[in-house]
Amino acid sequence: MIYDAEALKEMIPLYLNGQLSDEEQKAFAQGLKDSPELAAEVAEYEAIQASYPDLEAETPFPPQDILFGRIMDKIDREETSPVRDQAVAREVKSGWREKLADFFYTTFRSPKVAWSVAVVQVVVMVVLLAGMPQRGTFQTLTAPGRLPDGLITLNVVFDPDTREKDMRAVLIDNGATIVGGPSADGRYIVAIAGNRSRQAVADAMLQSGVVAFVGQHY
Amino acid sequence: MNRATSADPDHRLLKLVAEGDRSAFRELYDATSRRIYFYLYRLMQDASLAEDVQMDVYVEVWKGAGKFRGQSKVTTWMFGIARNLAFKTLRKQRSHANIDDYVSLEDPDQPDLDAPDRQRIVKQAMTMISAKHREVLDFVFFHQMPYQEIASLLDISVNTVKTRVYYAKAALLKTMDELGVTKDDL
Repeated sequence: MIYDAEALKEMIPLYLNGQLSDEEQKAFAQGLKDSPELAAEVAEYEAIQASYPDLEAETPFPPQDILFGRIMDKIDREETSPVRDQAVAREVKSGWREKLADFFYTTFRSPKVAWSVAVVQVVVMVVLLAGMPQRGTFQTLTAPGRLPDGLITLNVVFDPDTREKDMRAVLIDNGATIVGGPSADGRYIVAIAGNRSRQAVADAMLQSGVVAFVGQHY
Repeated sequence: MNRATSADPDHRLLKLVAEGDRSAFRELYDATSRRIYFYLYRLMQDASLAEDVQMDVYVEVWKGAGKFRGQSKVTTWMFGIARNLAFKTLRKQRSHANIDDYVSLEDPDQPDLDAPDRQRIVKQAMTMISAKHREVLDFVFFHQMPYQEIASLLDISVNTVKTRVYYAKAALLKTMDELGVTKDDL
């Protein structure tokens, strides 16, 4: 493999650290012979490398034994922090109350539990909201307010594909007015004025061909 | 790339540390503490800060030994912890300074040239270049890390490591020039 001048320059630190492969080493040695520029660069890096023993010698290393002792003190302090002390203290209790308290303590101490509870709450809320019927789907079958005396009230269910104008025609023909509904299953409460019997009105509506059901409303 | 090797003796020690073995922890400490301290001291230029951070490094090593996944050498992992803690501390200490441009407080315009010793000036210049440049030169020439390992530690590409080494040397020569030593004097 042939190495260009840039590649050889990049190898200088590796050359000084003895980290070149045999092939690279040969190429580098040849480069040093051929290129005074490369040799000058090597001298610059050598000066840097040569400063390290002095830099190390001048470094104020702390007494390592003492430092290690301080590290272990710190580790011991953290391992016997108040939180852990409480946990240890709980371990020696044996009554069921203590065990129950310990269960809650260890269970809910973890933030994972809090996050899990929060996630479950969000899921439940989403499910409940998604399952709620559209506004207006549930209509009471009770007439809104007290109706005047003398009115007949009936539950009426129109055929599902009945057009609005046909519904209106049946109601007008029978002197009926919708006073409630529709419910989820399509029931309306209609009020009829006049002195016709409930049964007569029901029969007339059923004969219209667009009413599927007529029943007593209480 | 999984570079964990069973040949890394520190890996065996770290496994024992993860199990709470204090004597293994001491052994690991003895094997690495000088390098870690030297790195921290060189980076932070403050013995007291370096000592404090070194303590934190080993506390983190003790606590995090079980999390080591073996994807690098143990020392590389430890240098990573040291680096994070050191830069975190430096940011607190010098919240108004750009850490990458952090240099020692020595004034390059006031060099002590009474003893024109070029090696002394190289050393002085080595304390005056930016932390980032000082760090990469240390990794290459003191810790003798391969480029790949440095790239992994600094989370940069190998080519960036090479470039950074080059610019670190250039910055050093420039600083030396300011101190009165030209590269021809080397």
